[in-house]
Amino acid sequence: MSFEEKSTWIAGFTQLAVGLWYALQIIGKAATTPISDITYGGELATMIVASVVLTVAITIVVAATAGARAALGGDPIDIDRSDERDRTIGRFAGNIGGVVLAVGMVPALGFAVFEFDHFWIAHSILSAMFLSVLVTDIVKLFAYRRGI
Amino acid sequence: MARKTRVTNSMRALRFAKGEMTQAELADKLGVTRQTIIAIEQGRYSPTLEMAFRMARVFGVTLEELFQYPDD
Repeated sequence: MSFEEKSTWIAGFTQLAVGLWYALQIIGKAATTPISDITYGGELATMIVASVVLTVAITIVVAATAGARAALGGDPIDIDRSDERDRTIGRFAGNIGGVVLAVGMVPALGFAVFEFDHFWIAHSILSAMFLSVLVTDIVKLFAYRRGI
Repeated sequence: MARKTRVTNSMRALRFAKGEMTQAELADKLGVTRQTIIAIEQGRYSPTLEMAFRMARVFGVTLEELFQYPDD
């Protein structure tokens, strides 16, 4: 597995984990508080920071482990190498993720036009972004495994 | 989404003809990952034209000796 592919797995699982954590926090609040009174700024910021920090930390650990294994005579690693296949797969997956993001913005626009509560507008945008990133990662992994 | 390319190649045979060159050695010469060499050999990725020329040059063959495409 190339380092780029490993990084995609790490990013995908991290996003899924922090996304799930955020959803549980908000669902928990929604059970006791009216939707329009729910505060979510703190959880949102925590989710974004946690996603970045965890992805970077896990990637560093994986890279260090792979480096140590290579030094001990295992498979050589390609940590510092990203090639044309990685870029092609990245573009291909990014295009599909972009379509998901664009389509996902339609409900947000609808909520804004019909003057729904800010909560719904923010969370439909957040959902679109989350789905877009997730779809991008999934398409990348399919392309790495099945070919492009 | 993912489809196997119709382009076939003789990379594996040429690697062995070239002193049993390993996938890692070829990857190093071309500045790509070993996984990319594996993907090309298995028909899961078609390299760019520029990469194809560089590969042919490594083996000292023409593009058509390295890559083939069905007539139909």
